Amino acid sequence: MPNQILDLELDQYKYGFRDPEEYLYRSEKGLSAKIVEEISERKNEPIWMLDFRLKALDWFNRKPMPKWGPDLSGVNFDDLTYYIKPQEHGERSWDDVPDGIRNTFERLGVPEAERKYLAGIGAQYESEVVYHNLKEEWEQKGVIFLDTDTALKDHPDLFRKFFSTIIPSGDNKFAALNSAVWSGGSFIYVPPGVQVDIPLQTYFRINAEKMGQFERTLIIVDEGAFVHYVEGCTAPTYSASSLHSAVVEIIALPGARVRYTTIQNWANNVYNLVTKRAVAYKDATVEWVDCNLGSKLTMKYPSVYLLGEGAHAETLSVAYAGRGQHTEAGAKCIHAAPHTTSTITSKSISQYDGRTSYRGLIEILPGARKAKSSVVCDALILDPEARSDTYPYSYIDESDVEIGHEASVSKISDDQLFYLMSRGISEVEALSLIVRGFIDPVAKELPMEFAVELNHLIELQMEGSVG
Amino acid sequence: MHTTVVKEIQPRVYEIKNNTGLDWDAAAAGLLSERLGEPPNLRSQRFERLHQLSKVPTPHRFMESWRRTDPAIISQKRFKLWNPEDEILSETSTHDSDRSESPPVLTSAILSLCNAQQQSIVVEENAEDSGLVLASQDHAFRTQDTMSEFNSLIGRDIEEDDTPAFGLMNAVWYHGGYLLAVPRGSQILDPIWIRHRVNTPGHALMVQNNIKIGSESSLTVVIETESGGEIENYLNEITNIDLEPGAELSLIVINTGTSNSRYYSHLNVGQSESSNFEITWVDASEGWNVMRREVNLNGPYAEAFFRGMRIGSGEGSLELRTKQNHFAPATSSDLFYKSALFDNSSSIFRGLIRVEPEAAGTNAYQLNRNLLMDEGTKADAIPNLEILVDDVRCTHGVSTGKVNKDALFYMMSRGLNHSQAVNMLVSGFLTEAVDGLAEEDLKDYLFAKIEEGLSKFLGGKSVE
Repeated sequence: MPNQILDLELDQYKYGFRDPEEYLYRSEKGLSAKIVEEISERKNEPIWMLDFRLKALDWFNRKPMPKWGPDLSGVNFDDLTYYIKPQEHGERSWDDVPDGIRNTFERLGVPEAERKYLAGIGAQYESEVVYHNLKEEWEQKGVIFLDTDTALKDHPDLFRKFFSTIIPSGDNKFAALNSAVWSGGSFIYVPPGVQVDIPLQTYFRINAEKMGQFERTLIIVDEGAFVHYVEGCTAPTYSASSLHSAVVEIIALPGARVRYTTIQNWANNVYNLVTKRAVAYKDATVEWVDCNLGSKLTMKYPSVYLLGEGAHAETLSVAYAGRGQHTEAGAKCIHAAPHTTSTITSKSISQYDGRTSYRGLIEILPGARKAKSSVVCDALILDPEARSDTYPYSYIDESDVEIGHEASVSKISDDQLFYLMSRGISEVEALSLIVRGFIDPVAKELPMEFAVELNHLIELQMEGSVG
Repeated sequence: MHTTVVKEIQPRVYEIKNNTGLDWDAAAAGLLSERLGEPPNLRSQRFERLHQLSKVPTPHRFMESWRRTDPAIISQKRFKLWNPEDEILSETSTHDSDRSESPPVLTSAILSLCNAQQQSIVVEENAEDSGLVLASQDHAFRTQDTMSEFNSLIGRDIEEDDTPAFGLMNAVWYHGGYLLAVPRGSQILDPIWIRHRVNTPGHALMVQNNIKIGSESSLTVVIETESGGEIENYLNEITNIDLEPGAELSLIVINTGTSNSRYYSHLNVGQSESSNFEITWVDASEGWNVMRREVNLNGPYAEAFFRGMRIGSGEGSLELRTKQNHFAPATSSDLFYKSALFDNSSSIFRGLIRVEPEAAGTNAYQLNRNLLMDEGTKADAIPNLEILVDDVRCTHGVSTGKVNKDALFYMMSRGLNHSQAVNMLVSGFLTEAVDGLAEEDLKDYLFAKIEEGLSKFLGGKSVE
């Protein structure tokens, strides 16, 4: 019997496999100005970027560890490897990617997804993007979809105009860390009026033990254009902790619309501490669809600064925390212009001794007349040892507004279970049906293939939860 | 019901002579203790607290928890302590208002305090027979007869997570306050009425009150606090409440203050098994206010209800910080707070529902609604939930906005003019918050208070 339970547990994280650690280059453990210089040199970067990195390192060293939220004492900065280069350069054909790495991505289903339903895809392995491709159709329309390092080389002016304008390097300790050692990530530019109607995706994979992955993503959507970007993340399961600390900046110019979807499924030894922020100009729309299922600790508060009249922000988030996990996912909307609107829908599920937290902010600045905001947070607690927190902040400095916030926390009601089971559905199936119904408002916003994946992942997590 | 007054102390009227004030030091703590006639253990407790105070950080605006209300307003640098020695008896009735109006309902006892000192007390026979203890601290220590009830309460530690400084200041330099106790099994039907008038121009006054309700006893207490005068004054008040198993307490709090009033108030309730606590408040202060109201549901089946409303006017600000701490199974708590804000007033609501792992079967709710009537008004809300067990039902909600245009249109289409319609909507909005109060005559009194508060803004306009 014990074996059986063990089997089930192993089954739950199906991306836990690992490759041998053979790399082209691997920096020494720990962080220093020397390592930052080395990364910059290896990447052959312009001098302004090296300066930027060194300044950021200084910020990182000066900033204290944030104490207001979850426990970060398990993050050991000296024990991490900050830069690993798996291959010479990013490829545009899977055939040129080394076998081992290609097989990993095959197992993760990445090339298959590309063939089937994506306009372009990137694959990042450790610190570098190993594969990046955009379908020709979109390239011809002037869409740029590159890994961030290549974008710095190929489009220096566009890059420098927007890079780090949304998240300054001293924004917070982890943004500073990312700014100092960033590597990889995606760069997207969509020219005015272009509607990229099938998604672009990047898949992030950490393979090495005690690895720090610091990708940097910059998305610029020009006037009236549209793009949907999807990121997925997995890692092998190790006993030692890894750190993933991304910075994502999005600029939605007037009338643009961006949707950024994350399916985060890191292994339970990864600290996922990311800074994600967007600005929305006049009549622009920014949508974050954020699914957080894995990691040891996630702290993620995707935010939107509504800077132009009529701008709209939408955040949909699903958070799951199982054994030993703490998932703190939130959202922020700062209304800085009249007639701006925002909605936040957060669904969280905590199981075993897992803990989910919602920490969010709605801020209405003076003069943002007729701003409207609505926040709904629902939490399901599946076990007596599980925990759920809700910390919604709203700071309203304008009187002509409509603000609403609602939250509820409960367990699955016995009535619902009883009803389904009396219809002949097993307890496990009934549970998973109710949970799927609970997250449906978010799942239905995902592209079909991802919705299927999300439901499947939730099912896996639920398996073995009864009996 | 025929009642006889058995205890009446003639009112004393004070006159304020150039108050030189006391420094925030050990000497002042000793002097205040001596003046109350405290036993030595309580005095040394003050010095212990003074030592603790030197170790805790001074609250400042850059702390997240003080981001929206500037604690520098009540900084020790801005006020000296009120020196009660400088307050002398006077024949001229400068505080006549304290006795002028008799309560609108039958009462079991009336206690009037001025600057934490007893002015007058009236106790009805029935209440006296039931064993009611009601006195100001200065009287209680002098007569010694009631002290045993409160030994465990006076100077008790109050847990203050982020900023213990204000609670400690109170524990070091409290000037007095009232003591109220009923023994087990007593039913005192008519409410106890406590009036406290505070005016310490340019000075700080620390007040500590203690209420203890015995097993299976029930009581209604009305507390009216009026603070402020022509010059800025600072009142720091801590009220400890203990409810024994099955005890019931309904507290009605009416707070009015001038724009010069600076009021930090902390109400801390400990509840045993099956006890029931209700607080209903009407707040119309124009000053600076921080109100902490916390219930600790320590015994199973304990219940707590918060119902409150506020009329904000002038530059008035009120930060309400509530905690609903569930430590025992099958406990429930419900908070309903509404405010209507006029002029440049502001409201900040920070609420926490915390359900500990052992509190299975808990129900906890929290609702805050704000009406922003004028352009300069502001309302922040931070309603937090920390749920550490699965068998719960917890919700919270916040809404902030202006008067509903559809409702206004509907009422005007029925023949009301604009101001009448607004008036009706706002008073309907506010009265809902106190509607749950069981005592009808007290409810009417609170409704009248609300109408009075609103008449300043809406009353004049309704006639066209």
